[in-house]
Amino acid sequence: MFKAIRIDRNNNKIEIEESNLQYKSLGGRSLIAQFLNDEVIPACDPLGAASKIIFCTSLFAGSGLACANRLSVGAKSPLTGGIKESNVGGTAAAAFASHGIRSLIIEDIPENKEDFVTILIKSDGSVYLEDATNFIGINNYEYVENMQKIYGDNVSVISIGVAGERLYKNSSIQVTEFGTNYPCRAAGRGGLGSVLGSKGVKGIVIQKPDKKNSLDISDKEKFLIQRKELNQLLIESSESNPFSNVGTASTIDFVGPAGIIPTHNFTGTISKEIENLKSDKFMAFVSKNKQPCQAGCLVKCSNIINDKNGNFLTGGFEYETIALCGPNCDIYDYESIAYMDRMCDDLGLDTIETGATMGVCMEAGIIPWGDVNATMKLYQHIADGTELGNLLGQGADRVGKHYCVERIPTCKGQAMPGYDPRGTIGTGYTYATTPMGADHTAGITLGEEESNNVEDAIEHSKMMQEIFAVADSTMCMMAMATFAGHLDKLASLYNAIYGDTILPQDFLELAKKTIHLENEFNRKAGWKPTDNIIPDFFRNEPLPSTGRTFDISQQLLEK
Amino acid sequence: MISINFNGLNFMFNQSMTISNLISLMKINGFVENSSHLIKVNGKLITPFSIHQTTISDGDVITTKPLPVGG
Ligand code: SF4
Repeated sequence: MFKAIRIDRNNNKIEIEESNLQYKSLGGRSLIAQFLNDEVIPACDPLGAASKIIFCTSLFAGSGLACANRLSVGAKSPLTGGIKESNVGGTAAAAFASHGIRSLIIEDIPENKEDFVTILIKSDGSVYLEDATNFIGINNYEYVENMQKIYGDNVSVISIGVAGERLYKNSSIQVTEFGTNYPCRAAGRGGLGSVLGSKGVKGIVIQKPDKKNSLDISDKEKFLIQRKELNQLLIESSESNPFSNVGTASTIDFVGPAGIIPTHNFTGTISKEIENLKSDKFMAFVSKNKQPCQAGCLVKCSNIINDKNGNFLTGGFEYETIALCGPNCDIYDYESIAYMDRMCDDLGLDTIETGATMGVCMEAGIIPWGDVNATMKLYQHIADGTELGNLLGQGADRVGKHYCVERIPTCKGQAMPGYDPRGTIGTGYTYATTPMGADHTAGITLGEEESNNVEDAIEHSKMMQEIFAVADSTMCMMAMATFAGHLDKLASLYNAIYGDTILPQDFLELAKKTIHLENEFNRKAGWKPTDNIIPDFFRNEPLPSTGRTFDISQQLLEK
Repeated sequence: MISINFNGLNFMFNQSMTISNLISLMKINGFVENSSHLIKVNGKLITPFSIHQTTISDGDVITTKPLPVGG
C-alpha cells in the first residue's frame, strides 16, 4: 500500500520497498517509536554511523482529512540523548503521500564529511542522490530558491541550513510552506537538523508526481461520509477559534497578563510592554493571517509577515517563537522578533532553543537585557560560525553551563517552550516526564480553568500526553483539539480507509504503546527516573503573578 | 428519569446516554461552545477515548472545560 525509501549514505545504495506490513497501522510518532526500537541501538552516537533518521507521514496523510498531511521526523536526539519525534506542516507530507511514500529512512554516514547530497524524488517516483557540495554553507532560503530553479517551481523541499551542517545541537529541519513555497515551517525540536547533517544530506526535493497516488480506500462511501463530517466539524470549531482568527500569537492575551509567558529568562516578571504583543497589535503587524501551512487546512493558524518594503520576511510566525525570542529576552517589538524568526529559519535553528539560549546569555551578562542589536550580533556569530557562534549553536543547556549560569530553563538538555512551569504545573510535569524532553507538544495542560491541584495536574498531564501521542501519529495537533471529541468518527474513517474495525479506545492503546516504546528506548539509552527534573529555580523562586513555585515533588516526577 | 448537574446547571433526561451524546446535545442547545473537552464525572477525569462508552447515571455531576492546545 505504501512505499518506504531506504538510503544508505555509506555506499549510497537506494532501496524502494513496500512498507513493512507490521507498520500498516502506524504513522508519524507511533511509527517512529516502533521503527527506532526495531532498528536503532539506543546507546548509539546520534551523529554516528549506527544512528538512523526517518521521515514519515501521519496515519491519515493523503486522505483529504483536513490538517492530516503532517510530516514526522524521528531519530535519537543529540540534544536530549533520547528518542525524538518532531513534526512539521508545510508541503512535504502531501508530497510524500502523492508519491505513495509513507517513510524515508537514511542510514549510516558518508566516509567523507564534505560529501553532501540532495535526495531527489523525481516526478516518475525514481530516487537519486544529487551532488550538493556546491550548496555547503548555503542557508535554507537560498537553497530552496536554487532547488526551485533546478527542479521546478513547485517542488517541495526539506532542508537544513548551516546549523545542521555544522552539527549544532540546536538545529532544525525546515520545510517549504504551502502557498509561499518558502522554508518557514520547522521540525525544530531535538536538534534533528544535525542528524541529517551528519548523514551528509543537505535536503530532500520532491517533484510533483506524474500520476498522483491515491489511497486504496476499503469502503469509499463510508470514507467520504466520515471525512465530510470531520472536516465540517473543523470548519465549525474554527469559526470561534482564536488560532484561526488571529493565530497562535493570541495565546499572549491570556498568558501575558497571567505571567505564564517566559520573561527575563523565566523570572516571570510582568512588563507593561506585554501590551505591545497582544492580539490587536499582532493583527496590526501581520501582513496576512488565516494562512494554511498545508493544502486543505481548515484551521489556518499560520501567517505571512512582510518587511517594510512589502517583501516576504517570514511565515509561520508562532507564539513559541514570539515568547522565547521576545519577552524571554525582554524584547517586546514584533518587527525585531520577526527578523529573528527569519534568521532562525534560514540558518536552520529552533526558535525556542535559540530564544532560550539568548535569555541565558543575557542572564550571564554576555549581552544586555532587551538589546535587540546585541542579540542580532549573537545571531550573526552563529551564522558566521565563530567560536562564540559555535558555542551558541549548542543550545541553552550547554551555553548556560559554559557561563556557569544557575538558572537554565531546560529539561533533559532541551529548552522549555513558552509556558512557565510554575504557571501551569501540569505542563511542567509533562516537561519533566515526557520521553521528548521539555516540549509542550508532548502534552500541554494550560487553560484558563486549569486546576492548581497537584494530583489533578498530574492526571491531566498524563491524559494530554496520550492525546498528543495520538495527534502526533495522525494529524496536526490543532485539528486534534476538535477531533478529540469525535474519536468515534476518526476510528470510523480509519476503518473505512484500512478495512479495519478499530474502536475509539484503540487510539488510547496506540498512545500507550507509543509512549511505552519511547520510554523503553530512552531507558536503554541511559535515561533514569532521577533525570525527570525541573530546574531548582522554579522550585525556589515564586512566580511573581501568583506567588506559586513548581511544587510537584521530585518523588512524583520519578514515579 | 435521570437527573444530572452539568457545569452547574441541572438537567433531567428520560434515559441514559453516552457522555459523547450528552456533549453533542449540550452543544446543540448552546450550553457548551465546542465538542472537545476535558470532562470530569463526579470529580473523575474521563478521557476522550472513553466518552463513547461511558454513560451518564442519575445524580452525576459533570464538568467540562476546553481541551488545551499549545501555540
Ligand atoms: S492548523 Fe496551523 S499548523 Fe496545523 S496544518 Fe493548519 S496552518 Fe498548519
